[in-house]
Amino acid sequence: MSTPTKIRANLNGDVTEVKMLMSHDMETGRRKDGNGLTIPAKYIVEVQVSHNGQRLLRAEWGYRVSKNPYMSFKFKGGAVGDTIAVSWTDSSGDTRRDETRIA
Amino acid sequence: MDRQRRRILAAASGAGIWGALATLGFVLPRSAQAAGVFEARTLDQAFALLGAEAPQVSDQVVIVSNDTAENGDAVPVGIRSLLPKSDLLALFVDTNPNPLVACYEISEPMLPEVNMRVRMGASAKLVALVRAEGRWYRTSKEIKYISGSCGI
Repeated sequence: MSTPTKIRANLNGDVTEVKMLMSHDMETGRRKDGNGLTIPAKYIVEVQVSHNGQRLLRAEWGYRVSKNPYMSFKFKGGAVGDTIAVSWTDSSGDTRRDETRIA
Repeated sequence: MDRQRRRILAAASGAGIWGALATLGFVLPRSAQAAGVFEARTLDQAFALLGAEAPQVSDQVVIVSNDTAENGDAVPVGIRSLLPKSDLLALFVDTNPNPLVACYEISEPMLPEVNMRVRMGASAKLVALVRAEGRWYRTSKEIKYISGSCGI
């Protein structure tokens, strides 16, 4: 089981700032374990963020994005109580979706 | 005009039509993954695969970061565009075997800035690429990696 993504969405004036912290090892496929065996690559390849079901952003990532990825951005048109949903898919096909409300 | 568009969107989302339209519209564009841009081994190759031949160097594209990095595993980096109608932001590291770090398709309500954390491991040149109104712009910034320093 994967760990929930921490999401904060705060309205300030007419701009909503969305910050998120995903819980993922982002294994690059370039590291070796104690026995010298390569640890297989497993990292988030796609992230989608939506506002009330309407897509705001689609990110595509490579293995150069840090472990437990952080992402933030701002958008206009949000209102307190609106839903912000974050979903990711990793290179092994695992997915996770979490949501929060704008505060 | 924008306000009217909002109302239409709100109405459509109520009817569940917008979701269906959005899915169609968002699935169709060719992704960086599908185009093999993450496997590109040089910047020029990555640009070509994205369809960004010879992007113009522009001070309207800004890489937001410190000049030095103390923790090479998580270097905070932002890409900001000052160009109207920017709809794609991408970040590259020039010294990697695979330069593309991340690629962002952004929607109209978004301010054209995305912040992230990047693995660097060594001093490197970061390159940001932005698409605005179908044209491509780039900028670059050197980040010096100081291992085990106090940030001096």
